[in-house]
Amino acid sequence: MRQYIITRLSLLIPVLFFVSVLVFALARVIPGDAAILKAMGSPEGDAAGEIIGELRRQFGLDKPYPVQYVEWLGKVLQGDMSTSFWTQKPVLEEIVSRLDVTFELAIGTTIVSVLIAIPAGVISAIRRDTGLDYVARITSILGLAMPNFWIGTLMIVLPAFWWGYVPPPGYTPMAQDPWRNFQQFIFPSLAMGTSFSAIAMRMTRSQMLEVLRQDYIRTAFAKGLRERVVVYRHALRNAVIPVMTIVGIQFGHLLGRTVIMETVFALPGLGTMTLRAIQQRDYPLIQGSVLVMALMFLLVNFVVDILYAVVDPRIRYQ
Amino acid sequence: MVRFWLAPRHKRWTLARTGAAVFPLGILLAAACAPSPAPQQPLPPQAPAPAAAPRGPQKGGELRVGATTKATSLNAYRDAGAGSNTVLTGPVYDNLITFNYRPDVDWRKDLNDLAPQLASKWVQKDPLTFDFTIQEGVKWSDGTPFTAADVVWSYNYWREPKNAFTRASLIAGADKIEAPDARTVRFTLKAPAFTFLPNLAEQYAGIFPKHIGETGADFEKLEQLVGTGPFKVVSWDRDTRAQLVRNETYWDAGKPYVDKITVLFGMDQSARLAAFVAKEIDVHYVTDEKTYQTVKTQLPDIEGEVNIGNTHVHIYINNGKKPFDDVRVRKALHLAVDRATLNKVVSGGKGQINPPLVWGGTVYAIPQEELLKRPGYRADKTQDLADAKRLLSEAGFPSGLKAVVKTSSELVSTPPVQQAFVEQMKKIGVELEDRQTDRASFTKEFNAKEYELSTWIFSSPDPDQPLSTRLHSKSTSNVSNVEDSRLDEMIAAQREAQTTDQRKKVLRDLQEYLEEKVYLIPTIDYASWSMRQGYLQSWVDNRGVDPFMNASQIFWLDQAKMPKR
Repeated sequence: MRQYIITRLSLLIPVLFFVSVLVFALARVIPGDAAILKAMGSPEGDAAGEIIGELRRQFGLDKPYPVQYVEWLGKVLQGDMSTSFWTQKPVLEEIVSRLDVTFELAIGTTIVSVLIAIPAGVISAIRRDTGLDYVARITSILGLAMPNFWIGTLMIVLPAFWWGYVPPPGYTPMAQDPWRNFQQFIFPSLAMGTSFSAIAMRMTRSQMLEVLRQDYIRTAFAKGLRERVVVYRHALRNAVIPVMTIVGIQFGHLLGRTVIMETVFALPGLGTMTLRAIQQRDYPLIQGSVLVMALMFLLVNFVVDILYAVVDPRIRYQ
Repeated sequence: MVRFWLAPRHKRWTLARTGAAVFPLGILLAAACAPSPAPQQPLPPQAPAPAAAPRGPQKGGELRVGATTKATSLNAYRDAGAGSNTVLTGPVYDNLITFNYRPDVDWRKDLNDLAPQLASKWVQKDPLTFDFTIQEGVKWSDGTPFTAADVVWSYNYWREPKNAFTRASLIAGADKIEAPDARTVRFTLKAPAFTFLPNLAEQYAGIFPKHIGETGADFEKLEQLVGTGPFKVVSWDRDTRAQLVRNETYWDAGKPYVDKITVLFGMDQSARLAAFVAKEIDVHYVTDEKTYQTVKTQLPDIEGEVNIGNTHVHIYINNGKKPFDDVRVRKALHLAVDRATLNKVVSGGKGQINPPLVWGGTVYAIPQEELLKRPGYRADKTQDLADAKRLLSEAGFPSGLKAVVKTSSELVSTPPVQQAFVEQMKKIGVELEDRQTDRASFTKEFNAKEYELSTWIFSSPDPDQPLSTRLHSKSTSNVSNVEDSRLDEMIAAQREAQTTDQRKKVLRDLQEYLEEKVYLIPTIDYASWSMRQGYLQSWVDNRGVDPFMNASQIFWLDQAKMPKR
């Protein structure tokens, strides 16, 4: 197991190197840069050419690309992800200040998703071809079909017009005011969770149907075990491993896909920060945040792989 | 095989367990949805109450506004594209002089109506020399006395290219800026400039503190944000919110009235609308009348009106590119624009049709009733379309032509106009590709003149800036590729005019000249519906889509009517 962990972790290095080259190149392929946007982005756009040149010099954009890359990578290896063109703040500080929002939203979404998907999937399987099954399946298709930004927008607008209520605007850290924080996160978590639950619910259902046909389930009932024990100890535990994979991958994706909900609910997470960085051609921030997102995605997948062995004692890594 | 799972006993158990898992979530959600303010119900008809005595401004309370975009920097002067920054810096930095902002008056209509601010008075000694007398007893928010030396330092700091101040052109006409004594600032101009005083009143013309600047500050950090204005910024996060509190050292005794201002960033249009309906924010703007009427029905006590915004949408032409170097082609496109329909489609007919580069709301514009009778602007397009086809044919394009029209998809105002423009051009056989990119890509291509046609805006109420930057042959921002010495002379003449009447005449001639040459195609100004809560008094509307606080020292909150937050 230890050997497996070491091998997996060492593979992260070339992957991250490749990501760093790719994101550096892609950021510069898109037209425009921060200097021209800063100086000429206004309707009248009247900044003199020398101002643009001065800004480019300050940002280091006047140097050849390979020099820019090597300088940036050198800093990253020393733990310095450079400074944002727009805020003049260290990129690492910017990223760390947004991580808690994205993690909280991803965790909230995953909890909502699992709370819906597992019970609904189990009921749908054990009540196969009944009204409950149809309702669960139709709901899951609807969850997949409805864009979550639309659900999110409805969640904001309808309570405002019906009851004069909106989630408290802005973002309040949980440590500062847990209740206010809960109100700010429950709606985006629900909007995303309903959509993400659809895939996990369908996976739970199909896995449960498969497991329920197995001989050992029949044996368990023949032994006279109570159905609750059979369902949860014997059937669900075996059916849940592929679901865990799905949920784990979804969690990894969520870390980079919360941008829409962050925008709709004005939550200052990593997604909105990266989107803004792209729009503003803030190269150090784009490179830093994509690198961190890639690292998080790789680590989440790694942890999910390790968790298989915890859930299923038959799995052993060499 | 698994029939026994359908036993009723098992069904009850499963549902009960499932319910137990989900119920707490439902309770919390229901509690979260509990209305904080009282539900808004239309009141039944009542006998008219005796008229309440008019109440004067009250001190206290918190104003909350939602900005359309996120703030990018605390130094609004270095970031030309982020209007939200001035939401923060507007109440912090005072100007030498200001426009005469008054509630319920469109301040843009007379840009020569100026009022003292840090200068108590000013005098024009000759066509090139202006003396400003500084108010006595003014202090910076950190307690340091304000002097004429701050003004001189501030403007010279702007003019230094390495400081990359994008609005340095506002004082480009000044040759020398001096302080003959501690209370006098003298400007000597390079040439007479009618726009010199209005430029000093612009929202980007605030005075910075010399004692902070001399420490090497770049005015990007919170502790460097020291002003003489009515408020000071005490906290900010560019993605979420900023908080401003009253500057206790403010020079205008008794003002401002509001204790603090919270600016919320990053809320999209629907979130801001919902927050306004729930009275979580106090000012909001919408660009369609239906939404405004819906909100008005929901909240009958709000104040609001339609106004013409600050986004004068034009189709820019790259006059150096074929076939648009031919005036007949340009004129054909101009004639084929059905502005009345455009106004109806994108602004419910409540917008305003503009002459070229002169905002239709000013005294300098060709009057609307006259403009709407002219070719290209009139509602009946029969003759215009026939003339347009004839001109295209004469220019060698009897079966039309193809081109690309570009804009930024990040703007609210340009994409709908561009879409309608593309459709309307089909009537004369002009097939346009509607290309929309993000702002950075568009800005790069637009300023590098890598376009044929572009839909873009100008927002200055005074025509001098757009004319000088966009059409003057010597301007670095002459994106229209215009080389016309007569036009250059006319642009200079309007700036150097000595009286309003003189300038009106020059600008009238200039508009007619532009109509003849069609270096760019004017379209419309959007209408927006501004809304503010009934308890917000003496609000000076910016007539735009952001709550720029042009006169933050005079608005106040009727706290008896405010919801508890």
